This record gives sequence, C-alpha cells and structure tokens, in this order.
Amino acid sequence: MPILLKRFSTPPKRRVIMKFSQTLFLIILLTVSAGSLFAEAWADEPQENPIDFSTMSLEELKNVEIISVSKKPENISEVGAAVFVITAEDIRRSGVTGIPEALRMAPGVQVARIGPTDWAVTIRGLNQQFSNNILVLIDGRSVYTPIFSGVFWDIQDTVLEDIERIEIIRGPGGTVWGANAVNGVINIITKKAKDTSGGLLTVLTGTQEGYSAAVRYGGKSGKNTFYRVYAKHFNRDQFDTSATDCQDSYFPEDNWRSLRSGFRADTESESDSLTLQGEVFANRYDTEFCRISLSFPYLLLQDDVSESAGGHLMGRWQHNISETSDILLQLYYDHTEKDHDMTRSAVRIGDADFRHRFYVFPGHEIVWGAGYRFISDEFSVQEEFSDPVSAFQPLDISPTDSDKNLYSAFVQDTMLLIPNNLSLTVGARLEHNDCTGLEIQPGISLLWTFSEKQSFWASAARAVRTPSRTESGIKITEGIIDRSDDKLIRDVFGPDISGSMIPVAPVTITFFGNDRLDSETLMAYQIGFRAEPADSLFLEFTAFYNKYDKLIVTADTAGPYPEAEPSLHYVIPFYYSNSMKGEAYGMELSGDWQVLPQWRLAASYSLLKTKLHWNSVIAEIEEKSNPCDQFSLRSSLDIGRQIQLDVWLRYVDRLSDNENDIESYTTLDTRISWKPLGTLELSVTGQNLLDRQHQEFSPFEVERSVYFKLDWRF
Amino acid sequence: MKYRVSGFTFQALIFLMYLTAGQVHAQPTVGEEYRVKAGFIFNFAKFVEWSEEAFEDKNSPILLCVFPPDIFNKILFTQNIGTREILIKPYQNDEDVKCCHILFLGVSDKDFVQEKLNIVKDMKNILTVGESEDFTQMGGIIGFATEKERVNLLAEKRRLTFDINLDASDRAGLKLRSQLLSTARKVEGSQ
Repeated sequence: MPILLKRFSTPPKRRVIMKFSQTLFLIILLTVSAGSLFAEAWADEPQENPIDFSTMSLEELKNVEIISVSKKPENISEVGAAVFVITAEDIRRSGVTGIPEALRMAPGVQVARIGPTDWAVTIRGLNQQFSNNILVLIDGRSVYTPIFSGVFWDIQDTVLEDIERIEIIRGPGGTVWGANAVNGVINIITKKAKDTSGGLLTVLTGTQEGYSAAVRYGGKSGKNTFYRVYAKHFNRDQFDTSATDCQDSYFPEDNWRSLRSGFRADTESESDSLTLQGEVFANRYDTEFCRISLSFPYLLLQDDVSESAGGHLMGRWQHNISETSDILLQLYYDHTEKDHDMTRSAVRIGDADFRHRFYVFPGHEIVWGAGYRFISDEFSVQEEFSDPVSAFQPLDISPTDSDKNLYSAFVQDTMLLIPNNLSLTVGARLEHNDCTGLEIQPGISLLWTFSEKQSFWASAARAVRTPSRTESGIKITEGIIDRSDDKLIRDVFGPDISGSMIPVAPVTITFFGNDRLDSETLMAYQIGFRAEPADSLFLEFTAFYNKYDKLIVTADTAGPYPEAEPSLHYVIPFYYSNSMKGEAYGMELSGDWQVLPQWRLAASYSLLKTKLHWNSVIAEIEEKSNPCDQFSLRSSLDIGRQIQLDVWLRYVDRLSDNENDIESYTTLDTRISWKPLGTLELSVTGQNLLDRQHQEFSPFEVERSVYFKLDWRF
Repeated sequence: MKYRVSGFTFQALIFLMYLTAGQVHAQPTVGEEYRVKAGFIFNFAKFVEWSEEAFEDKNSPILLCVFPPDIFNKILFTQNIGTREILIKPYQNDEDVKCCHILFLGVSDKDFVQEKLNIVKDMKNILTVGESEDFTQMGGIIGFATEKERVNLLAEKRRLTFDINLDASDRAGLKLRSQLLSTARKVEGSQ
C-alpha cells in the first residue's frame, strides 16, 4: 500500500570514486606485502621478551596475570555457546571511537549507522533502529530501554581505554540474563580500578569526529582500595547537511555534544570484593523532524534540540563463602531522560540481582539467582511543542506514567558427564512482569571437548522479548495523506470514490499500541565447533536455526474512520499485534592467527538468511533489512617496538526493501600509531577509505574520514 | 572549523608530556604462563642453598632440567645468581636427572609426576618443582598453584602462587631461605 510515511523515500544517487579506491587498493597491497616482508625478515631474530620475569621479585610475580600462549580467549573453549570477545587491545588497535563501531569486529553482529547519532545494531538479524532483541549490559547494568525495547546507542559511551573486554554472546541468553536476550547479549566490562592506576589523557580530532577528550585518573587509597575518576567530552559538529522540506529523505542531526563523568572504586580482601561505580552524562544534538498537523501545510519541518541526560549508581559485592562457593549481590539505580521529537521520557530503574555459584555435588557446577527490577517512566510533551490551537498531538502515550515490577529467578546446572570430556548444561529462568505475566526461558547445551584442542557443542533454548511501553500504549501519527494525490486516495478509499466523495478533511496514518500483546518468542538451535590446529591459530564455526513466533508488527486491521477531535480528520489505524512468524538461519566462521610474534590476522565471515511469513509492506522491509553476507579481515602488525600498523577490511552485503536500496559496500580502516615514549602514543586513523561515502541503512551517508589521536599516560 | 584544537594547544600538550615523561606508573603486568613460571623458578634458585658437593666449583652453573623438553624453549635467563648462571636442560631421559639441580615437571598427569618423583626420591640436591595437583603432598618440594579471580560467568583472571613441602626439601638436603617461605601460600612439614 503506497502511503506517505515520513522516513521512506528514494536514496540520493550513489557516488563512487573508482580512481581513488583503486589507488588505495594498491597502497594496501603494497603495505600488506611490505609488512609480510618485514615480518619474515624478523622471523629469524630471537624473539624479544617484552618483560624478563626473572628480574621481578616473588611478590611481584604473584601479581602477574597469566595467560596461555594461544590466542584463544580464556575460558571460551569451555562454554557451550557462541561467544566472541573483543579485547581492550582490539578496541585500541581498530581505531574505533565508539561502542557500536567496536561491535563491527564480532562475527554475526550487524552494525549499520543510521545517522550521525543513531546506529542499528543486532545479532543474527531482525535489525532496525531499535533493534529490540539483543540485551546490552555495561558492567552488569542493563542499558536496554524498556520504553522502546532497544538501546539508545547515542547515550552509551565511556572512556574506551577503560573497557577491559566486550563479550558478544550470539544466540539466546535468556536463561542467565533474562528477558530480551533473544538474539544475543552484549556484555561490556570495564577494567577494575586497580588496572587503571595513574593518569590517562586522550585527545582526538578529525574530519568526522570533531574533537573529543577524555581524562582519567586512578589511584590507591589504603591497602586494598583502588579508585578511578574520569570525564569525557566530545563535539561532533561535522554533519552540515540540512533537509529542505518534509519530503526530504533524511533529517539531519548536527552539533552532537556529549559530556560524561564517573568513578569506580574497588576494595578487596581475601574473601570479599566490593565495587561502587557511578556516572552522570548529558547529551545534545540539533535535529529536525517533521511535525504533522491537521491544517495546511499538514507537514512542517521543525528544528529541535534533542537533549538527554542521566546517571546511575551501582554497587556490587562478591563474597567467597568457601573455595567451592561464591555469591554476588548487585544493586543499581539508573535515571535517564531523553527527548523524542515532541515528547520527552524520564525512566527510572532500580535493580537488585543475586547470584550464588557452588560446586557442592561432585561433577556439578550450579548457579542460581534471583532478581527484582522496578521500572518507572513518565512521558510529557515538551513545552515548546504543545499546540494550543489545534491541540493535536501526533505522539501520545497512555498512560503517561507507569510503574512496573519485574521478578525473576533462575537456576543452571553444568554437569560433567565424563570429566574433562563431556558436559551438559541445563537451566531455566522464570520471570514475572506486569505486562505479560510469567515467562519461562529454558536452555540446554552439550559441550564435548574431544581433545585439548578441539571441542564441539550443541544447544537449544527458548527466549522471549517482552512488549515495550510504546508497543502497548502508544498512539503515533506517522503520516498524513495528501488529498490531491488521486491515486493514493483511490488506493485507500477504494477505486470507485469520486468527486464529492473524496474526504475534505485530512487523512492520517496512525499507529496504535495494544496492551494485550504477548511476548515475542524464539526457539533457537545452534551447533558450534572450535579448534586450535596450531598454537598460534584458533578457529571457530557456528551454525544456527532460529524460529520466531508472535513477532510484534503493525497490521492494518481496519479501514479509515472519521474522528471529530480536535478537528475532523480521517484515521487509517494500524494496530500492533503478534501477527508475524519467521525463521532465520545462518552461520559464522571466525579465525585468529598469530602469523608471527609481531603479526596477527583476525578474520570472520557471517551468513544470515531471514524469512518472515507475512505478506505486507513491513514484512518485506524486515526480511531484507539485514545483510546476507558479511566479511571482516583485520591485520595487526608491530613494526619494531614503537610503531603499530593496523588494517581492517570489511564487506557488507546489500540491503533492500520496497523503498530503499542500500548497496553492498566494502570499506577499509587503517591506523598507524607511534609510541615515542612508554607513556605517549600518537596515532592517525583513516576510516571508510575506499569510498568518498556510502550508505549503511538509511539515506545517511557515512563519509571517508581521518582523525588524529594522542594518548598520554602519566 | 572542524579542527577546534589549535596547533598551539597540541604543542603545549606535547611539551608538558616531555616534562613529565619520567614518571611512569606501573601498569598491571600480564605474562605467558611459562615465562612467568620461569621467573618464579629463577627466584626459587636465588633463595635455595645447595650443599657444596652439588657443584664442581664456584662458577659451575645451576642446571634446570625441564619436562616437557620444549616447555622453556623461548626462555633465556639474562642474569646470573651470584657467580652461577642457570642453564636450561631439556629432560630427555631418566638418566639426565642425576646432574640436575632443579627439576621442573610442567605436566598435570599425576601418575607421570609420581613416577618421576620416585626416581629422584633418594637423590640429594635436587629441587623439585611441579604444577600438578597435590605436587607437594606427593613428595615434591615446590608446587605451583593457580589463584583464580572471577571476572564474570565467562572469564576469570589467573595468577600464580606456590606451596612448599619442607620435609621433602630436608630429604633432598636443601635449605630454603625465609624469603621463599614467607611468600609461599602454604608451607607444610617440619621446622
């Protein structure tokens, strides 16, 4: 049904500069071959030992964290799930400047930039701006918003250098992590305060990055207490395009400014560790949106400053009861306020989580836990947009205030069926929410370690996504029909309509929330295989089949009806309902190869096919809104002690739907860093070098860019 | 317009950095397991007294026999202990142990470890170091242990520590100095 929805239209013509990309390919080829030449020349030299441990004292040695030789992430081989870890080193060397960009390193993850401040991030498909089926946690704090079911990526940030690792769990994690961990879990873990001692200053400036600065200082207080404080600011003011009217394909955002500051303190004794952390932030950017009104010209381009602010405070206590038993108690409070076009939401979340792990019965590792979460939200129309004349609110949520409780409990047992060889993990979570009631999320996985270097696993799990506040209570006018468009009017009101029958009042397209929605469900089946054919090589293969049911979409269930308030208009209603099913299948292949001590390669390939069984416009949009193939190759080369050269090549397959065609793209980032002193690192990073610009999801063009960065430890 | 940080600011920053470059804060260290273990063993050797008949003369080296033979392949000790250097000798056959001053068994197979410990049981002047479970209870002198620290459900950090069996060191005629005993996690046996 061709209707005039605000954001769909044809993309601008794509500009490809062949000559430049050809030149660049040559440069890369030369660099890579030169790199391997250098590397070969060094291969015969004795390997330099970065630290001679025989010069350290016993006390110092006892504080050294040990790692195994292989590049295999620690402990990952012992897990019957598809887990990928992005390390601090990966983040630093990739040259990414934000969390969503870092996620592009992981196989099976689809990251697409929608606009200067928005990203669509998902795992194994069903992507959209509020990709609503992955759970994202920062130090155990959920940043998944219950309002829109998704993550506001524009407000998720920290000092990237303080991130210890990002774990990406593909496939459902509902048993351990709770509802909404449908397609996967992204676990962002920051460093312990004792691992960030001393000062750090980073300054960054570039063509697309504007400028950014972060400062952190870590210290010690008393014998066992460590702390750090940090602040980060950026100003990205480079997006100077602007829309001319509401028919424009893209609404620009500009002058994106962000400021955040926080702290973390850890104190440890032999059997206890206590962490307290907190952060406040403020974020703003200029934007434009199309305001719908019931009088001519119906659509009005409106300037707006979109602001958000918030903070959180969190405490975590870990206690080792004995060598075979430990408990974790975590409490946090989070407050976030954010503008959404004309409205503003305020969300307060209080969360308590308890976990107990023990190995009392031989051959069993049991984890059980219980949690409580309180979610309170409030919507209001921003004062400057209240419209006393027509009193027409394009966006309305009822009720405007809501308080919800969520209770959960889970248990998971990992049984050693054959010691060191075969283990079975069985678990289930019960969760009760005020909206859909009791949800059960069971999971089972079998891990067969058939040698130290090879393992195979298989799993099956059920996960649910609970309906968001907007899906259950929103009323949003998404479009208004231009009455002079005869064809459109005939499509909507039937072919026989003529002359005086054509309504004189405007016709709106309105989405209505539905408070009787069920949760979306997923049954996922996965297999995986890991191998270390050599000490320096780690390979992983996973394949999955996902079966979705009761997916929430907007369906046109009724014809146009007249509405008298505030002035006569016709409404074509779309109601949210659980009326789509689907399946997705695919595989991911990833490898990590330490070719030489100074040269590492990491590659991944992801295949994804999605089929959604529903024959409406939206079904087709969903189906093709994810790339079928994705490929990534990263090369990290050390040239002597001071210089590091990184190259990252990515290919993302095309996306297509009725309105937008996003062509496939190949892009390349390079970073070169120089460490003239142990405390100082200077780097230059070029991003998206192969094209002048490319689209990733929307008409927004991601441009080629360069930035300069300085890292100074003091 | 896009470069808001002026050239001057950068120059000033870099200047500041040179001023303070001397102050380097210790960052937490990470090391490959066997490199760290080699560092420990070097320190053990520093605080162990062998009887005089264990060496030919003042300058003869301390022989560190290691099994598996390739486990310390990439490791070279750059310094000496007093007048003696430490030489790493790959363990090829059981005859080799006679001339060893330190025997490191880098394997977890307890039966294998017991078999090797039985060979050296009645020999003097051999400091046995191992990493298998219950190494010191089985008659070894110093046993490595790993201390694990949970990061989360999936990850943990590992650090090394060690236990000492004094009865076993007495049998071998070795004297362990207090620096060694005081840093050990557990000290078993007489004294």
